[in-house]
Amino acid sequence: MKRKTTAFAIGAALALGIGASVYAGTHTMFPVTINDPAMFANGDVSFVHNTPDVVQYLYCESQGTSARCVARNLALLVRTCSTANPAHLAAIHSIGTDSYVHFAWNAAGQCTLVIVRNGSLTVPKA
Amino acid sequence: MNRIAAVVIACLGVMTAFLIYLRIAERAPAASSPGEAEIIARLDRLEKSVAQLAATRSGAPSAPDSASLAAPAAGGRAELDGEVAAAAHASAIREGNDIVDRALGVGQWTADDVRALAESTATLDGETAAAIHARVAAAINSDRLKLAPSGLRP
Repeated sequence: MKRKTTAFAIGAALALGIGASVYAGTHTMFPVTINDPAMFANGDVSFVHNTPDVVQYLYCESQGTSARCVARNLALLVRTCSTANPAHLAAIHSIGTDSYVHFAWNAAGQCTLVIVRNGSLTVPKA
Repeated sequence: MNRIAAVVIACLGVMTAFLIYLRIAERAPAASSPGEAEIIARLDRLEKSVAQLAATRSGAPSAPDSASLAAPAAGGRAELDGEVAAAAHASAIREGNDIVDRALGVGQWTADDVRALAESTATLDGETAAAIHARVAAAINSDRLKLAPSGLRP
């Protein structure tokens, strides 16, 4: 009788979700957004990674003293920029798996702005 | 009167003796100058002899001569190294721009282009490499260059 009671209690607790982890906090879920007239692109690296489509991507690659950022949205539009600006390089080198990345460019293909946000806002890579 | 004259004569005698002493004291250094000059001249001759002897035994030019010969040689080597580096730099820039120009001619940016450009710009400074990559970026952003499906692989 005692064994049945214990099993019932464990089953009830699992059904009610007692003991399970509860995630909270504000989360952003930004897909790749390209604003061509304003010449910028942004998105959450981890959220884009987790999307079921195989179209979007957002990344920056660095060769140490120069780097490039690239983004492709669901409409298959690709936008990119290149930089050797030390401030941009520092930002790019701080990109992590769960970062928010924003970059802007000019007509010559040079990056004019690189913003990287690391923190609690983005969802982790699945 | 005689006493006064005797005192004056005595004073004159003392002053004369003092003046003679001063003259002798003044002459003493002047007398040693030629000696010093002679010693210096001898030392110079000795130094020259030693230098000539050393040069004869080693069969090589004296130290100042070797230094003056070595300086232009080192300068020439540095100049040559600089010219080689400048030529390599110019070649890497030309190669990078050629890759971009070829891709622009085809209208496609492939994985091979990405790899080749990464290799050719690897030795360039950041500013120069970024400028060549910016040409690709500008062409992609203005839809003059399409990314091939494999165009992401470096």
